[in-house]
Amino acid sequence: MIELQGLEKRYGDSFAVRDLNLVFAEGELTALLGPSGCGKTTTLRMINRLIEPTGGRVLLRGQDTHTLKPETLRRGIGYVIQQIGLFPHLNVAQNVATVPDLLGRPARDTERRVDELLDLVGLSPAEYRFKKPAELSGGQAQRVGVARALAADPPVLLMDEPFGALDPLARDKLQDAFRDIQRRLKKTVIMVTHDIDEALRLADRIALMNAGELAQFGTPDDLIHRPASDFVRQFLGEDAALRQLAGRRAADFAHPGDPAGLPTVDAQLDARSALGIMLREGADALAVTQAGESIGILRWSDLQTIPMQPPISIRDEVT
Amino acid sequence: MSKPTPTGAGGNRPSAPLLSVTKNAVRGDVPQVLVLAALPLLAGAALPWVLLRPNRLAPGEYLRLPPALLALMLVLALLPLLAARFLPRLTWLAAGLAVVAVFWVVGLQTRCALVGQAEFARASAAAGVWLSGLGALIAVYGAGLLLVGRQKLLAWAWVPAVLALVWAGHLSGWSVLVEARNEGPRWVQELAQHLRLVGTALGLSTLIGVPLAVWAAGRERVAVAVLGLANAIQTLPSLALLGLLIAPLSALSNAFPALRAAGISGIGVAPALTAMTLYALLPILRNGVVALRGVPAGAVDAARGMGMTGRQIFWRVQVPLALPVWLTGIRQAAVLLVGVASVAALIGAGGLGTYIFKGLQSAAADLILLGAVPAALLAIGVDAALRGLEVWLGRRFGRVG
Repeated sequence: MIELQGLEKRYGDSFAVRDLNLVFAEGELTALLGPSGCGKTTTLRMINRLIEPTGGRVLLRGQDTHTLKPETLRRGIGYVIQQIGLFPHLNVAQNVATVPDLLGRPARDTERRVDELLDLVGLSPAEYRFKKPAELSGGQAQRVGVARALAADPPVLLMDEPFGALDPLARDKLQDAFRDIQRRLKKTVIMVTHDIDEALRLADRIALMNAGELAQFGTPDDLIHRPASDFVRQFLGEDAALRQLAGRRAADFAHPGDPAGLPTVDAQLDARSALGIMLREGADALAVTQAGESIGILRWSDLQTIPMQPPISIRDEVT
Repeated sequence: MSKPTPTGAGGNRPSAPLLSVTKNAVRGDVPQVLVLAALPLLAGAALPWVLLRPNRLAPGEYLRLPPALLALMLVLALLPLLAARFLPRLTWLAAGLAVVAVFWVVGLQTRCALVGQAEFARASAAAGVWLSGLGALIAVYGAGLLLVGRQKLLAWAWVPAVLALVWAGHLSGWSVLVEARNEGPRWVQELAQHLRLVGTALGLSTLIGVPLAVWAAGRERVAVAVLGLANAIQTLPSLALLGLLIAPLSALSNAFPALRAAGISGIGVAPALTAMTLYALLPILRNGVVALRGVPAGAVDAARGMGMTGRQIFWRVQVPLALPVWLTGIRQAAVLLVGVASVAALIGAGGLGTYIFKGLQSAAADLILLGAVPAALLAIGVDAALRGLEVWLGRRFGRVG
């Protein structure tokens, strides 16, 4: 879908990004992860040419993005930034309609589309359509930011630390909501983050960068269990496996089995806490219950393999 | 450079709660404000109200109010205070009555004083009028604090009543209006000239200042240079600036006959407009630069990232977000210009200043008032009108309302 070939950005003698080769697969969420100054944001901004590369190419569906007008390219790519970047002088509906308006889509279609998108991100259109950004909480504003990026139904979504400015509670809820949206829409998403938990939680693949170069590219499991270098291991930390578990629910790991005599945990509990309960109770299996009903058991050994596609969780309420 | 700060009502939302606190505090103090209003009203009633002179320059005699009118003014002085205590909803009426009464009594007394006098006799308002008028306006202000929302308009109810008094000729004996009647069409011309000077200079400085601010906003060095220059001009006294322009403009018009033919010379409208335009540049430039820099970087980045062209970003994002603060600068420039235009009369540019200087030269206070009062009202009116526009735009763009 998107291919970076020998991508390079040089400022004078120093490289912000150097010889970067990456393929972002269609329908997958790839996290560009790394410490600050590693070149991840520069990389993202070179994809929609907010920064022009000094070397190499970006191919979008096989086409060199350099052959397109920057504005045309950007209108076909969704873009969400950290400071949210809503236009304070426009209301929610006008903000969401920005790109369809730029593309000259009929106003009536756009109006319908706006309502659809607000529903999708969990904001009731009737309540939020005419609100100004200043009237929204941080979480609500970033939901609008996501809706705005999706408005013209772009196949590709670029997100620059989209949940970075939110408080932890709002961030968790929005990450869950976004995971559901992504599971439904199957966009090709490239998300810049320095938050390891976020990358482990949301990403299908992680491109870990260091000092402008790619340190490792692979699934979260690859990075945790098969780190390519000491840097990767150190960056993820010795507790990386636990952090990955923290992003999953006990129900994701449950298998059929006999729950008799086992300590019980709620299906919505995160898997790391479930592991904690095993350690506390001295048990190597737990009974997973939902609304008092047993839905299976969770064994110690189950936790070693992370299921790739956890089922869609219950719809989150608005933060 | 040190960051220039926008002055006046920008978008300082955080101060809103503070403001409402003070408002409440003031509301609790309304009786004190009205006491403050009653004192000059009481004192004014006892002072002379009319200065009667055989002509507009000769010394004259001071006349006090007759007992009946004195009693009336004393009652009206206390009425707003009593109303606030016992009938707070009608305080505006009591205060408004006090203002109207001041004008009515002035009209009555000046006309009475002139009965049997020669044609050149003048009856001017004396200290009692000014003191009572001040007290009555403070009372109106205090009464306005008791009103909320739309009701606040009631505090202005005295304006049409006073205008009706003027219209009906009730105040025709008052020396200022006698002068106005004598000047008549010429006064209207000077007012128009005043407005023309202000309008032209404001237009010119906007035409120069707006593009300059846009250009400077993104360039640190240019901004420092341009704002420094505008600052330097602003520190010159307006009179000095007018004087400084006489020499170069005379030289120009002497060197190029075409310029002289176009009416450009060392004195008159050309140097006045040049000075006024230069003067008005600073607030427009400064607020423009500050406003454009104050546009949230995230909004601009998002706009670019979504595929807006540079022009679309400018018109759809930067201009609407900068406009309220920018307009504050234009408002300040306009108010400034109303004042500078009064000085421009000194170098023969005309305007209301003509009467101020004429009056100063001939020691005729009525003539001074004929120029000064309309100029002051004009400044207040321009300020109020542009402030209203700012509030409206601020509500439309960005702020919650």
